Amino acid sequence: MTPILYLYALVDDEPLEALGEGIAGEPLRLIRQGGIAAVVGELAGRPAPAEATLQAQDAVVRRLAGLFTALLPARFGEAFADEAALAQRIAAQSAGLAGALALVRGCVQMTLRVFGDPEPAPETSPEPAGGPGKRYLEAQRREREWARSLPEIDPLREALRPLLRAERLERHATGRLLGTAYHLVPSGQTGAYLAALEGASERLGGRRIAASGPWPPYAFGPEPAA
Amino acid sequence: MSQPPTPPESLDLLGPGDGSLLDAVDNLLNKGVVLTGEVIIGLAGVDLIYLHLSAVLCAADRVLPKKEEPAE
Repeated sequence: MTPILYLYALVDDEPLEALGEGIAGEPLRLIRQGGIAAVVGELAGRPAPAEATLQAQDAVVRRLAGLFTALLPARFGEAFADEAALAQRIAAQSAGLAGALALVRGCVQMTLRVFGDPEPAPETSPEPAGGPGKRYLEAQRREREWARSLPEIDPLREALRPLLRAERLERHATGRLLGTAYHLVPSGQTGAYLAALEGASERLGGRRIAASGPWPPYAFGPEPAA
Repeated sequence: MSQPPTPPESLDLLGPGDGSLLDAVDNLLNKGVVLTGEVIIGLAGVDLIYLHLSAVLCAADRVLPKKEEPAE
């Protein structure tokens, strides 16, 4: 197998202490490009996606998150042939990455899953303005918006709002799992977050929630270009 | 009379044991920064792992043993 540079995370400052080792015990190092640095290790090949490797990578990223004020975890399996290839990809997304690093600085991710019966989807607009093409695009837009909304937890979101730096919502299409809210919370505020959640969770009309975290801010990378 | 929802039970639904692996899978395979532009789902086995674990996640409230009502 050709050796690869395996990406764990992107950062923009110096670590508080030594970077330590990656998922295969390989030494980690920083590769800098502009104001952004990648935490990488050299592996013999791309790791296979299995429970052990996923958990190992999660553990490495969690440890790294404690060494930096801002860290964006990479998705599993991000591998590069060499430093030049990696630097080129960072340069191509540098503005989005810098913005996302600024957003997550000093914060952690809390994940909130919501179980129960869904609200009915909003009714389609009664006045079908325009021709069939316009109506189709409008319907698509509404569908995308609905997929990123969870009105079922609005009472919770009101209570949590003072604690949130950012929020991303995902509605799931089927099953008892209605959706997931990813919340970016200042790292000292996770206790207050859980307390606010418990205080407000009775106002959910019998729906159930499951909170987990704190996690590194996996859900708060740069938004993919539209 | 119907019982009100019990927040501590719902918060425990995915405790540190089960929840951590499911969340790790969601985080690592669905989230995280992608620089390469490659779609991770193309890696052999990911589909199966993810489908399997998300099925568990959806079913967690039904498959986990119900807590006994505390004796008054």
